[in-house]
Amino acid sequence: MNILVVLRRRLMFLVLVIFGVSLITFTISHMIPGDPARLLAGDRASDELVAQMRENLGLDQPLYVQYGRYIAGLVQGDLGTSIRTGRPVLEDIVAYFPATLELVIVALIFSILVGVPLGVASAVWRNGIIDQLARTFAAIGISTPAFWLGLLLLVAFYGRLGWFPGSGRLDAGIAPPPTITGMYVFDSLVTGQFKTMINAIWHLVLPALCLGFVHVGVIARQIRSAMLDQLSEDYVRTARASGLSKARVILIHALPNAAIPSVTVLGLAFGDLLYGAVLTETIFAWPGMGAYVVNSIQALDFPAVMGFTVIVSMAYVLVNLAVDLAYIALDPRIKEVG
Amino acid sequence: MKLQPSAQNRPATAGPMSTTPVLSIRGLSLEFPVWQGALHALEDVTIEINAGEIVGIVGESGCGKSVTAMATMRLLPEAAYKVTSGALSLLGHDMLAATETELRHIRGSGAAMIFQEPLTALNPTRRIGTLMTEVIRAHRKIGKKEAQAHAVKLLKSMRIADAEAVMNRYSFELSGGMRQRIVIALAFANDPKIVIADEPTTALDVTVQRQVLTLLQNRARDVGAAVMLITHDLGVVSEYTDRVYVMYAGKVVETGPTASVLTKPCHPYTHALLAAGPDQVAPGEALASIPGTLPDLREDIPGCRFADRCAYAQGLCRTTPPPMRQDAGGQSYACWIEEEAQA
Repeated sequence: MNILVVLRRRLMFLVLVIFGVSLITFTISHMIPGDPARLLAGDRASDELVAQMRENLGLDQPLYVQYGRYIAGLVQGDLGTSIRTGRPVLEDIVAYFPATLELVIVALIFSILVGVPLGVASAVWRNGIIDQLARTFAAIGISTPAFWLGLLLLVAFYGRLGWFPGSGRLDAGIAPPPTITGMYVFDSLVTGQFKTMINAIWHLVLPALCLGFVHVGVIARQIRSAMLDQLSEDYVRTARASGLSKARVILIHALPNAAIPSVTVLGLAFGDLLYGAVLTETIFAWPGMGAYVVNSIQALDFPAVMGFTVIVSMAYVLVNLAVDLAYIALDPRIKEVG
Repeated sequence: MKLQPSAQNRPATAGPMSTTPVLSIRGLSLEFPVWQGALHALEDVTIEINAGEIVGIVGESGCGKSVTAMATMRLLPEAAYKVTSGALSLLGHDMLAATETELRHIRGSGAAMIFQEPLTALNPTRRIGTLMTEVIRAHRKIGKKEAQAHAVKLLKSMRIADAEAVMNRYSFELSGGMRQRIVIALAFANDPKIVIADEPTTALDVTVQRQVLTLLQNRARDVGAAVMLITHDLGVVSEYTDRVYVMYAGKVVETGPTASVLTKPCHPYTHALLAAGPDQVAPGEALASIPGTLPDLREDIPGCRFADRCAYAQGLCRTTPPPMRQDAGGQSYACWIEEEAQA
């Protein structure tokens, strides 16, 4: 079975997932007590005005009609209009999503850069000092609540030491780079605005550290166990008996094979990071999807919340599709994917 | 058992015993620390292999033959074992004291190893060509092209017909016999003086076994490499080896020219081992077996390690370890019982 078949199958699956996710979030959000029309109209609005508002928003229609309208819009790429901002939800998402994606990608890179070497070292020097420290670190990482870690980082590195900025994506005086992807580091690099890039990276450090911290431990543990499996394989013994250096056996023979099962963990981590970003963005006043969705929830802005859910689910499915494609690329044994 | 010592009709490539053996293990005792004690895996093992010789190490599972092979290449996990006495010299290098860099130069070059499981011995995610050129270039300063040409030549010497195509394959795409031939080709990549083959054909079916062993034997004779052939199969020993060491419970119990050890065994264990061969009984009859089990190697065994299972054991056998005795034919054995006493 070739890659095209896998792609086609997965994209059909994506449609199903989006349908399912939208149905569930639609049902839940409309079961929540509270009336967005009244919230929008204000406390002192007359009942007539609220009714008028409700009619304008289509909230007076039966649920199935509302849902039918929503789906009809969705297939045309219309996520509806935000009750709170009055703008199309898709426009809002295009404006806020890149900031989140940038934060998530940097957090993921950070957790890979720290987690993988930590996992490899733990496996190679099993039960040694590094292994003990890494395991303790992993346990701490997994059990540390993000809001607490975020505050700690802010107090220490922003408040006390002043090493890093505590909020926003850029310093006040610096203009954002021209929008290409909406991710400042990438855009400023491409357009050659290095000062802006450095500043953007500087702003990313604390939120990415906070967001990625949990996954350092998760990735280190995964790599450790996958490496232990690989290091006990016969081919490692053959490689050693052939006079290959220890570093070569570990990094060129065992690590790529250990990375294969670990790619799954990265796919899952990506999903976690997207949701985790909601909290982290709130702590660091990061103007991304997280902040947007929190405000939307507070305003009972159903279309916005659903738009966020649909987009995040889509990203999650697409990342896991990428994981499957990575399997095919990394492991020659996989020729057929069911 | 039909024993056909083929030693006589072999060309005497090995020649007279050369003065410096390629492998010399002298009185090696090795133990694995275990909970509250130690497992005495090897006890006073002495094995010598000269240039160009094919030497069998035979014994049942757990007798220490694989440990000997791994120890020879210093491939046992460093933290897991302790050498309590003895010396081990491979190609003139003191293997017990060798540094990681020294070991790297010896392994895969002067001394190569072939393992039991051809199915898992090769990295599944790297192409055969990549694996081979990697090992070649680890020991020779040559370019990629040259290494590839050498690899193809090695594969062809193992009678692999479409060697160029095989270079682009992954191990999982090939048959067991093919993989083991590749493993052997890999072992001969850098003109080894000695090849240690740890049960190289146990995982293969019988017809492929013969092909692979014959290839190994011919290749070793061609390049003048010595072979340490570890096996539990006496048929393999009789067909392919010049000399043999019989091991039991971590000790060498008998050694000598293969033909004489197999035709007139001196040690009761060798005797029993030969009698247990499947071709020693008529079809339909129960196979002969050696009563009892291997002794617990965690315990201190004061006398002969085989005493508990030996039909001839006497008082002395259980109190004092028997010394190695040599007879006129170059055969040695560790037993208190005189040959004549054995029926």
